[in-house]
Amino acid sequence: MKEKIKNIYTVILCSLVFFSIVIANFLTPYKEYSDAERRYLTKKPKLTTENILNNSWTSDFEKYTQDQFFQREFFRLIKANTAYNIFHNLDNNGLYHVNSFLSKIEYPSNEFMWQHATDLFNKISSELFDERNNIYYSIIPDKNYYLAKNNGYLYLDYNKCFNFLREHLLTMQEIEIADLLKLEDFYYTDTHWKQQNLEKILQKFAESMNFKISTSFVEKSLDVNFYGVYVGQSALNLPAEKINYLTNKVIENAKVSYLTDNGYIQKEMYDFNKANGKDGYQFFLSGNQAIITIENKNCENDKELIIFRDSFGSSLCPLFTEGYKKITIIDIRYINSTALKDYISNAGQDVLFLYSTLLINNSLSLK
Amino acid sequence: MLFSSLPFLFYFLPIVLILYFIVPKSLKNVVLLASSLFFYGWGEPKYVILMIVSILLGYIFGLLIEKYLNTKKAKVFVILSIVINLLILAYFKYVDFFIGSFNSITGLSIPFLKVSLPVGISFYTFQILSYTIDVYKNQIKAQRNLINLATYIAMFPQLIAGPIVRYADIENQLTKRNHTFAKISEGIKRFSIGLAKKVLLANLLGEVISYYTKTTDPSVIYSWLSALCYSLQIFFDFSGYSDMAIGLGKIFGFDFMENFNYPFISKTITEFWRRWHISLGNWFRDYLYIPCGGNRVSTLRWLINIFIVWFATGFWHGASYNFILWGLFYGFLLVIEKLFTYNYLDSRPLIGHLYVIFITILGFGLFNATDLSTLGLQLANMFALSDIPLLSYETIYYLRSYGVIIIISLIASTPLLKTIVSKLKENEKIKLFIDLVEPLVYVGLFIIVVAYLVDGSFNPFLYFRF
Repeated sequence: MKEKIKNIYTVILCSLVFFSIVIANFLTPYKEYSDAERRYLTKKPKLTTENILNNSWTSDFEKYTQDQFFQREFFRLIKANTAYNIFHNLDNNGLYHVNSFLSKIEYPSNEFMWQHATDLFNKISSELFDERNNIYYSIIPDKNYYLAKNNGYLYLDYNKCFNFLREHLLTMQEIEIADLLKLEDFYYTDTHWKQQNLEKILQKFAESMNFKISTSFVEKSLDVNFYGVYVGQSALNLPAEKINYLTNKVIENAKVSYLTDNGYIQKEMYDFNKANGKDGYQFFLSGNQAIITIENKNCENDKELIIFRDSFGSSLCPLFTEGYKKITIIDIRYINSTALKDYISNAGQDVLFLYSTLLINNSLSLK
Repeated sequence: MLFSSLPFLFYFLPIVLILYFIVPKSLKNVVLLASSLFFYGWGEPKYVILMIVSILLGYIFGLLIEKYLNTKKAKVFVILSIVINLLILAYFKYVDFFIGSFNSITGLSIPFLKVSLPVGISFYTFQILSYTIDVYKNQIKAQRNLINLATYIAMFPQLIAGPIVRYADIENQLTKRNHTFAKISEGIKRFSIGLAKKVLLANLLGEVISYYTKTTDPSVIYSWLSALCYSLQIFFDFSGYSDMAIGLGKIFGFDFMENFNYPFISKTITEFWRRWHISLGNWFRDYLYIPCGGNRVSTLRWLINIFIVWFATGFWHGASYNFILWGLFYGFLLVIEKLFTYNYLDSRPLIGHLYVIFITILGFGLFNATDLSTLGLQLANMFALSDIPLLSYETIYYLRSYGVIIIISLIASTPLLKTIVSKLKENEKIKLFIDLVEPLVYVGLFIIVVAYLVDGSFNPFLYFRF
């Protein structure tokens, strides 16, 4: 090819591609929310003298251009595929996939976070409870416990973490569940475990905490496509999963109340509206809630249980319903533990701290 | 504003290109100057004023020096120009370093002024100095058109991280330059390659370094891996920027000098510095080393000259002792080569290459050290003098995860690919195929770069701090 023709061809081709993206980018309509990433996208910053002089406008504008870019998801897909398939990065933004299981590296171990969590649990325990209460804790290993080490990915030092908690939660009785779970008990594309696989876990808690579960569960399936939290983060095109759930008469007849700004309101144990929402896992106990109570009037005993939990608890806690007359489920990410005195009083309840290693290793959100 | 940012690529650049190519020739420099000042003010609006003051001083001193050429007044004006520019640089770049050093020596605690460093001040100050000194040496005519001089000093492609363009090199192009398909095509190619070097290699290599600095699982090999990645990162970061600058320059009709020429293939440190940051090396040679007498003096004076230049080179890079030590380290090595080892290394390529790579990795370790204790720890880790294992789980993970990028980077740091393509092009059919595919490769690279930018990642230019 003659040099002149080659140069013209290069300039025209590159200019066409470049200006096409420029124009498409200008014409791309503003988008408020990213379903894939489950977050609000950056708005165009307002131009003021103050934010120009302190440089905040330019940095905000850069974020805006990233968030509102033409075919953003498509470009993120290109990036993910380049990282995995061309550069052979083992992870992309910490996300890795093995045999259809998608997970996010949780590394390194953060003892400062463990200390924060155990200090807080001990503080709550000593301020709200006494010798009348049986206090338990149980740590849920995240998916990486079953996936990362065997496949050569970075992983938390789980044994060190479990030992640290044992040494620092001396007044509590540990309920070990790590060996009862396996990789298949987790969703392929989500952080969480599958409720339908948790009966063995429930039995372990029942034995350790001395309550009875005699009514069997019925497994039902939701007619919705569930995309786990890692699908959007990874930008990969992955198949949808199904959410199955366990129910029975006891669960259906239980009275479930959620604390709101206007006091407690009664809702369902399983939130079918949220199953269709941005995060299908919020189907269980409506997702993020500060305090929920489950009352089982037909309970054969007067035992009560207080559970401090993270999102893993949303699917497990409903299964405890038969064992207690009242269960209070508290998420201290959404209510400060210093305010709990206004909502619970010590009546010798059983107490369970139920947290995943993900939260223990990132515990600053616990208040 | 960063070249490797979406606001630059998809807002600033297309608007400037359109304006530049639609206005008549007489207004092209006005467009370049206005856009350059906007570009500079994007990150630090207040320092646009400083830049305008520097330009005005350069302009006035240039005219005064020319007016009184060959008189004592010209000498006074050139000295004034040098002193004022260096004082501006000293204040904005070094004042807190001087205060800190003074406090350490005297035990006083004079408060720091906490002056933020204007981006690119080291580069444009050196351009202004070269201009006024060259006028004084009667090597160039003073520029009477303020817009043209300001365009030279502030031109956004090379404003922030070089190459340090000499006025003499682009004097004619400021008023008469061609915009041809050949030049624009070459500009697109250089810009795309530079952008890919920065975003796809330098940034990703930087990730390894950031993991290493936070590691709880160190190892000897990890410390070497990190040091290697840092050397490659700084090369691709800086040479990528230079490629983008040269590419943009070509699109706007300018020919800037090359700043890098595969430095890692050097056999001696002397050769390395002929291939690394060429424009800075040339600047110090012409405006410091030769005026000090160069090598046409006694051996002792010559050695002193070398150490002066390398002290200055190190100090130019940053207001910190590690940069001074880094400069003197190279000064020392260059003296050893000039006196003893140059011929030996130059005639033994394998030993020479290994020596240069080893020294470069160590040198950039010194360059990157935030303090001497960090440097000590890094060296202890590299030479297995600290209590860490040879290999760790995390090391293996990142070796596996970044192995391909490191291999690509190693290959790209040599002329291997360029040589292969040239050889292949000797066959007419293959040449035709390459000619067809080459622009598609640039487009592909550009789209992947955009994908990385949209996804958001680690993106600072290392040389912006100098």
